[in-house]
Amino acid sequence: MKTTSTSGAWVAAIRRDRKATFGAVILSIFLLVAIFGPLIAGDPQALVGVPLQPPSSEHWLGTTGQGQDVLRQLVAGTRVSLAIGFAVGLCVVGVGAIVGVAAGFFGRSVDAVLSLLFNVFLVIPGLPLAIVIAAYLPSGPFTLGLVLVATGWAWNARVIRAQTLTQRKRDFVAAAVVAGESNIRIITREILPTMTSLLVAQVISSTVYAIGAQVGLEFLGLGDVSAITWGTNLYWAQNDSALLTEAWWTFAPTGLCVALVGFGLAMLNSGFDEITNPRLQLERAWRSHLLGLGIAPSRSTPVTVGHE
Amino acid sequence: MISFFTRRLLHSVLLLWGVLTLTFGALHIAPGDPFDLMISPETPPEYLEAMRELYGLDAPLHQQYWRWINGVVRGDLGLSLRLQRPVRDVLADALPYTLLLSSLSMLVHFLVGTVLGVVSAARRASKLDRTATIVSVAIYSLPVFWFALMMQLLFSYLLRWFPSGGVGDVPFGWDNLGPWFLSMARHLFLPVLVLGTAGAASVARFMRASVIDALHQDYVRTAYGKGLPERLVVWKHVFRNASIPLITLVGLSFPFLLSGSIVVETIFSWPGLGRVMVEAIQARDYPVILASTMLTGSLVVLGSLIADVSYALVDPRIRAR
Repeated sequence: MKTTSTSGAWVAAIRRDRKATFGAVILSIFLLVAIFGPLIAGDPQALVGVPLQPPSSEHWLGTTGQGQDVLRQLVAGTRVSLAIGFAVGLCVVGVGAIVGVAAGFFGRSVDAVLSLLFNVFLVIPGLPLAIVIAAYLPSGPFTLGLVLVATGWAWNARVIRAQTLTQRKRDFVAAAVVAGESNIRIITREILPTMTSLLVAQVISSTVYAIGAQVGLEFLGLGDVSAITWGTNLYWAQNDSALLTEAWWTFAPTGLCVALVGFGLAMLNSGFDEITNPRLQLERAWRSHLLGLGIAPSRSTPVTVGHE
Repeated sequence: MISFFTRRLLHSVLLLWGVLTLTFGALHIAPGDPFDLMISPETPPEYLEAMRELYGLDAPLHQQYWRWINGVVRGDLGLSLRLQRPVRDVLADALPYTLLLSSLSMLVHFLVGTVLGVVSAARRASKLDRTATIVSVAIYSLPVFWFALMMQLLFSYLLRWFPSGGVGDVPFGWDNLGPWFLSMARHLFLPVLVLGTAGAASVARFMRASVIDALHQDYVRTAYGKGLPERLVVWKHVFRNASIPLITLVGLSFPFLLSGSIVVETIFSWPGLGRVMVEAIQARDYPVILASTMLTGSLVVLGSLIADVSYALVDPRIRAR
């Protein structure tokens, strides 16, 4: 089953699948808020009223412990958090792909060294390592991104290495080698294109990871606490003991946004899975074919059409 | 068989060495040392020098590295800079709490996750499957710490059913086993709920995929064909085969549990490894950070070693490779 990688085909595929459409809609809303929201919402740092007011018609999501508008801060945070999230998601997969392909393609000692490297990174639980690095570098978005890439790439590298190993043995790669193509060309033109859907899925799940981990680190106070992001909003809510005063509006909306973005991305991903996984696709096609003939598919109905 | 175990063991030792080296490197390449934080500008430089000498921080890096590796092998992890106690004792106090929390959460997350995954795969595309998928994706996308905060808000501050943190003050003893157990259970409920639910969601998703895959095998069609009831096919034929990859997942979920418990322990003031680690990082307590990272790393290596070996014991095809 060949999957086309042109953007038109992807858009069509997303529209065909309900889950993917749903995910894409959620995501688009957040992207619009990230791009245009800060222009409309107003200064997030401005002290607008009495601290810790519950939501009202004047301040839709209430005020923080410092007396700032929660909604404004949420909107301002959306831009920064999503930007870091997507950038890190891309970088994580980029690093993972380079290391994974190199290990799988060149094999032998290159594979041995690189495999040991990503296995070590897999073994050290990510968060402690991230905390250690974040605590010792000057805080800021760049450091945060670096930390997230450092702790997130290994898993992708491992998956891509395994995928490269199977592709490496295929006839078309052997043909390219015999034809005298350079290694770089074989990797970029022959091997990587076969993994497009895997790479897209990885970018999506890495972005989910990046946003969650970023908010987590900032919540622990390891980000730049003077910046306005989803994580620092939660950090300040915790610092102003919002929990003790039961001021749920200072942290509930932010967490909900993180969850919604993650949910949207995950929906998009599982939609892609239904689209690009040949087995699920065949099964659906076969079922609808049978139903069209007036036959109810049962458990003992074999899936045979076009099976490998 | 023997050579498989030997190779796997050697691999683990190599991994452990990598973990030790990486943590050492990450800590020592960064500028500054713990005494920069502890002292005021009036502290005499001689005192500083003496302290650095006492803790071996004045030695060249390769000597410090050698001393560290040497100490670990002999079980000597140095002295905590902040607590003035042997690091080994600090970790030994915290480890049981983390293991208790992790193992209970693991139990919850594999039990709930497996049942949910198998049932929703067997009833694929049903209402139950859809609901289970949506709920598990939703839980999976929640940041663990935020979920923890919300549970704390709901159960400890609004409903006041469970304590907001700590381990309780009922001491352990054979004569007050009942009250001790009750107090422990009350304090463990929220952390286990948070860690367990978060993990159950991903186990359910994994199990669902694995069962769907197994449902397509020929032996399943044969089982249905010869008229076995569905319950028997699913739980006896499919489940057994689909749960082999679960063994790997048990090994792989170790890092998640230990990472997750850092946040959860911090939020619920649970005196385990995670909290020790966060406090040590805040105080730049080198020896404790190094040792606790190493300890969590070793637990993960051990976890995946056990997973691999039991995988080989269960599935003879693995050994042959």
